[in-house]
Amino acid sequence: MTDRNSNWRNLALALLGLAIITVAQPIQAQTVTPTASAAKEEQLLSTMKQIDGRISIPDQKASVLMQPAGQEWRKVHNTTMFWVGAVSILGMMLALTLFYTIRGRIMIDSGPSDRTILRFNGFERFVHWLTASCFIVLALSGLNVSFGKYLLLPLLGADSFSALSQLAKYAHNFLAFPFIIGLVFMFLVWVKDNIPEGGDLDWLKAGGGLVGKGHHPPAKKFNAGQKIIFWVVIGGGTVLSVTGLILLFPFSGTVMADMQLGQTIHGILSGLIIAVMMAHIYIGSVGMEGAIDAMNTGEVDLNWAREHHSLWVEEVEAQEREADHKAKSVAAE
Amino acid sequence: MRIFLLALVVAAALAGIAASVLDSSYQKQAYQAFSTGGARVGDAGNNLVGKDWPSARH
Repeated sequence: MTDRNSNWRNLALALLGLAIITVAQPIQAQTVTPTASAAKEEQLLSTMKQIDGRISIPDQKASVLMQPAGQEWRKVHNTTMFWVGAVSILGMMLALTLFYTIRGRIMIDSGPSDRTILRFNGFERFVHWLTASCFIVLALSGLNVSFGKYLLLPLLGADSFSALSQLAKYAHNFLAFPFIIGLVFMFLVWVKDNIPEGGDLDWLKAGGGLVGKGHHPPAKKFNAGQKIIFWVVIGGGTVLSVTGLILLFPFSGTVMADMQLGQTIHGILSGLIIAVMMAHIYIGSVGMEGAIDAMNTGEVDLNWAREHHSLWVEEVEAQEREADHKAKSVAAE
Repeated sequence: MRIFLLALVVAAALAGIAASVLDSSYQKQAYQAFSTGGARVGDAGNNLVGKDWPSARH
C-alpha cells in the first residue's frame, strides 16, 4: 500500500513539474527578446527623415548623423547624371559626325558674292563672345568634375590632375559671374528678334534647308533653329546660373535637400546644354560656309544672307531704301 | 578678332573682381568656418600646417 501511495505521489510530482515547464516556456520566450518593440533604423528614418544630435562647433550641419536622402542623391549623382552627360555629349558628337559625313559642309548655293551686309554690330559680338568664352571654360571645367578622374587622371597623373582641377574649380566658380552678366545682356539685345512666329513652323517643317540642297526656307534675323538655341541658352543658362549660385553659396538660405536638388539639376542640365551648344558651334563654324563671319567681322556675304535669312535681308534693304529716300528728300529741300 | 579678345579680357577681369570681392567679404578660412574659439590655438590660420597647405606636405 505504501509503495502504491509512493507511486501516485511521484506521478503527481511529475505532472506538476511538467505543468510548471509548460507554463514557464512562453514567459521565458518573451523575456529573451527585450528589443523586439524597440524602434528599428528604417522606422526611425521614415519618421524623422534624418537622425541628428547636438554639437558645439559652428558647422551645425555636422550634427546630422544619418540622412537617407543622401544615398538617393549619390545614386543619381553616380549613375543618372553621369550617363545623361556621357550619352548626350557622345551622342551629339556621333550625330554631328554622321551629319557631316552624309550632308557635308553646307555651302553658299549661289556662291560668294562681292558684297557683304552687317549682321551683328560690335556690341552684339562682344556679348556673344563674352558669354560663349565663359561657357566653354565652364563646360570644360564642369566636365572635369564629372569625368576628369576617369579620363584625365590616368593620363596626367595625380599631381598634375590635382593642380589642373584646382585651377578649373577656381575658373568655374569665378567665370560664372561674367557668364551671368553676358546672359542678361544677350537676353536684352536679342529677345525682340527671337519671339516665336508662325513662319518658324514652316522653317522647321522644311528642315531648315539643312537636309536637302538648294532649298532654303525664308527666315528673319534668326531662324527657328537659332531661336531654339537662344531660348535653350537663356532658359537653360538661367537655371544653371540659379543652381550654380546655390552651389557657390552653400547653405545660404538653403538646406541639404536644396543643395542636393540644385546639384542634380545643375549636373544633368549642363550635360544636355553642352550637347546642344556643340551643334550650335558646329553649324556656326565648320558646318556652314560663311556662318563664322557673322561673329567674326559681323559682316556676312550677301548671298549667304539671302539664302539663310531672306526676310531679314528684305527688311534691311527696305530700311536702307527708306533712309536713302529721306536723305535725298532732305538734300532736295 | 579684336572684339573676341576684348571679350576674353573683360571676362577675365570680371572673374578677377568676383574672386576679389568674394575672397574679402564672403569666403572664410576653414579654421573660421568649422571650429570655435575654444578649438583654436594662438595664431589661428598660421599654426599647425599653416595657410600654405600644399607646401606643408613636404
